[in-house]
Amino acid sequence: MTSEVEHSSVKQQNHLVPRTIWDKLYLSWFLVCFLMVWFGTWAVNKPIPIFGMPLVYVWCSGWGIVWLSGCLYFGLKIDKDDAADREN
Amino acid sequence: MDDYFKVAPGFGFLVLYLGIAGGFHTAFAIPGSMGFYYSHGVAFAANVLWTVFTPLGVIYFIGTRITCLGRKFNYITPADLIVDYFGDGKFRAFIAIYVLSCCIPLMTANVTGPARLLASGTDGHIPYWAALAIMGIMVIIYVTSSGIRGVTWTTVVQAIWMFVAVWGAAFWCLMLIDGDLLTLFNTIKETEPALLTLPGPQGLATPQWWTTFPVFGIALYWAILPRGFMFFYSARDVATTRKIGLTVGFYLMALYLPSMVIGFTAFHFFPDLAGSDADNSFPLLLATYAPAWFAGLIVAGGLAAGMSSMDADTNANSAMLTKDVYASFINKNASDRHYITVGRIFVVALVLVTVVAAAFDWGLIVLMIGVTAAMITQLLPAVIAVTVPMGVRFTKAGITSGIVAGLIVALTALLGGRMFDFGLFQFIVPNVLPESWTRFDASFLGLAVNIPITLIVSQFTPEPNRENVARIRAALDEEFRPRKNQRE
Repeated sequence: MTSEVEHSSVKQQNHLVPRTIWDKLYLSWFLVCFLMVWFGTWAVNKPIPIFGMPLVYVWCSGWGIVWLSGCLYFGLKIDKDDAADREN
Repeated sequence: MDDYFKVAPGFGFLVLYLGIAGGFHTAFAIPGSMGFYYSHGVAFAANVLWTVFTPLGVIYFIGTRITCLGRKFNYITPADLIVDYFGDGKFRAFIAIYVLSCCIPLMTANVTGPARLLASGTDGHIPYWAALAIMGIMVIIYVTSSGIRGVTWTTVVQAIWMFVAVWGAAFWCLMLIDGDLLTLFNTIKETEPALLTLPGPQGLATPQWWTTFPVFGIALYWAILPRGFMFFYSARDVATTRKIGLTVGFYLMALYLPSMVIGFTAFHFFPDLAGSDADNSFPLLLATYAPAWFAGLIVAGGLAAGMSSMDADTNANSAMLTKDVYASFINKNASDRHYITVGRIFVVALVLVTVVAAAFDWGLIVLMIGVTAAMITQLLPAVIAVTVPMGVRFTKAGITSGIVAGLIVALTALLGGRMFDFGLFQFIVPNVLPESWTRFDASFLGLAVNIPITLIVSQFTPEPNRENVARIRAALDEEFRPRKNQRE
């Protein structure tokens, strides 16, 4: 209980603010890819085949894979940094 | 209760990965997604907005925090997390009953699709009611016998099976049209080119729909369903949930990729289906053209999609009824064994309610899922308030007011103008919102009202207990802000 009361006097941290460069890159990558699918799709809304598939489908799926791959990379970097910090 | 409704030692990465991957999918995956491509074409590509947003945004950012608090303070139900921060008592009952009432429509809708698939896929040899009964009995057997362990392990197998079934069906469709993807594309372009662009032949995917439904109607509610909480609580540690958040999107997205081929192939062979018949286009394709053994394998994949979420929902809802209602208000001092027995009775009761409700032809499946989404999304401010410290004041009264106001607006948007016919009487829900508003998803409209009301009311109402808040924030700081703590 003592530690709880002690902690309540510590200034509250804002968890919405990214801490490290990798946090910022994760968030930026997330937003860019999200916007590409959310708004960008309307710019490619044409009945054109790409590898035999509709352009809208290829655009969304392609950005989905880019989105996942990039965030996986940055997320693993965040994990690695966190692990190193905890060891120190 | 601790090792029945959730797994006390925690699941590792692989089991929980497949558990979440399968448990998140419902009848919307098979045959719903194929029916969607059939009716609305490439508008279903919007699925990327939830299959990727949910893991990388909601699971990675919120799910990890639910795991952190759940393991640290031994939570079992979603209400445990919320009332630990805001205070117990009637608020627990409010949250539990609210969440339960959200989930019954979803469970009913989820069991309907696979039962139809089984009935159609067997050409009526297994009638619809028998398909419902088979699924219900199976779920009762393994959920009552092994709780979340049974749910998760069966979901692991179901996740693998539904993935194989969907991809297998897509390759079979390409063989059926005797061509490649370009052949299929050109066929659709000749018969119904509107399927290849937005907003689709029925005009569904307007900019308003595209920008609100995938994110607010699915991505933001998907992971905070009670079954999501149970999975997060059952993770071995925060790192496990974090890794799942980073990787499970590959599975979730890849499961929907072949749906386009299947939906378009069904359209090629049966171009004149409408309404619920369109949702049955894939089962019809199987029943008409697939050899029996192959149709059986695919139908099993569809059953897997429905049962994997039905069992997880049943377990989570049973936990809420037992812990948040029975153990909190009816019988406070019973043994753990007694509570587990009560939990098993609730499992049977919930499955019976679901199966009986699904036996009636409501014709409202999409609407029922929409109601659940709209209701669960209104909990988001409460979940964020607990899990993401940000220097904004949230109070119990604020959260409650926001939920109620958001719910009224969301349900008005969903149900406004609809007529409900109950035989003896009929009524029409008044359409009080401007028509231009109702083009947006109901969950979004609800949140747009919920958030400002939550913030305003929170400014004028008593704060939660400071010690509880400090304890929860200390746990989150320790896990997610360790270096800054050390500096301080």
